[in-house]
Amino acid sequence: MKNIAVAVFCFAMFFGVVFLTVEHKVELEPTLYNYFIEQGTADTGAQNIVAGILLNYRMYDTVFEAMILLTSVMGMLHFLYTGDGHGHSKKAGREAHKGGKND
Amino acid sequence: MTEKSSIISTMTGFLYPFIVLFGFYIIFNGHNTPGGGFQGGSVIAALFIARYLVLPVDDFNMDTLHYVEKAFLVFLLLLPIVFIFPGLHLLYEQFNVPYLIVMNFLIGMKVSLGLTIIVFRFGFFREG
Amino acid sequence: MNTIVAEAALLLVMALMALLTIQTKILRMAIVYMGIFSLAASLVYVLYRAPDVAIAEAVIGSGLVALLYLSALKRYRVYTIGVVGSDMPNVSDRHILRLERKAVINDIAEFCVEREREPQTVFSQESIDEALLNTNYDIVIEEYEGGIRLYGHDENYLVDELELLFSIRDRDAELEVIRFRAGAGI
Repeated sequence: MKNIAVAVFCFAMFFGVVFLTVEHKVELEPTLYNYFIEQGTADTGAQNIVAGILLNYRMYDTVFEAMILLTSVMGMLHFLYTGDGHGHSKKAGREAHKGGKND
Repeated sequence: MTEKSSIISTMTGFLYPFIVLFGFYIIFNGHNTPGGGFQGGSVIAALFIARYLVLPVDDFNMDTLHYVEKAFLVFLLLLPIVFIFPGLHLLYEQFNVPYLIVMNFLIGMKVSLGLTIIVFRFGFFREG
Repeated sequence: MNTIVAEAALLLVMALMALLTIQTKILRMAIVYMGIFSLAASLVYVLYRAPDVAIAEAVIGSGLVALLYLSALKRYRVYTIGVVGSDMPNVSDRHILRLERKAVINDIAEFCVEREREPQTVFSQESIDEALLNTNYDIVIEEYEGGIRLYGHDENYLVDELELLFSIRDRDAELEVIRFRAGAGI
């Protein structure tokens, strides 16, 4: 019950802060996004401007995101490595089990 | 997840071709409609994971998946290095759309293989 | 107008599911609530006109992540109970039988079945200090002449529920529950 009260309080504070501080009408200088909307299709040939920006204007972002995925896969392989390069060796697992618990 | 559920296997068998079609549709129309390589790749990864839900056997070589994923990453790095970074996309504008399609395809394959490897590593990991 | 109502309803569903996820006692139900949360979030993305984000959220949030958590939960099922005592060097079958007949052990086994855990009892010759340092044990039971002492880690939430169960069933005469903190001793 106390936890629920704390959670409700946190939600109320969060929404209060958001509604008090967020500016709903901000006038940005219309330089870059107008350029993307007007010239994006002509520059990149993509009807979907998101794909155009991701794969053409912001190419470095996409390349390094792909490398982030490769890094996470390498981390998985490192932490779940069990000895035979295949990831799920029954023999290595059983030996580790035997060494760990003395029953 | 070791017991076979006939509901899950029947429904997955029914949905299997539609998942493939939907994934490749998202990938190959990524330059015209919402979506792209990452979204279509995760849909195709969901295909392999549905197969894991129905039939949890590892009758394929996981190392091959690693090599293929790394090869896709090399091509993914190579294509923009050749086409975008020297500024060729400003000179040859007729290659822009094929470039987008090929890049979406490479990203989709790489993402689907990466997510599949991650989930299968967790699923088939036996530590005793 | 309809869009605003649907948006409000979906956001309320998201808040409700987030609360249920952290409030539920059964971890498998928490995973299901989290999947529903991701599904509602993807519908909200559709309403905000970001369908590409919605596809990724629906597949990854409620598909892949739920499956990852489920497979991790499957690894987490064995509940290891370490038993140490003063006469443990010459432990015999009769001793094990005498211990297993005690009501406290039966209570713990019943509790594990209820929580979908598999109890695994390890009779060890370690001293109590060594056993508390051994991270393979979820709880440690020490036997002595007067009864049983049960050691549980300070942040182990299952020990909280075990304590509650023991206080309901009135086992205080033969049992003493001691909470310890890792690294700080008893």
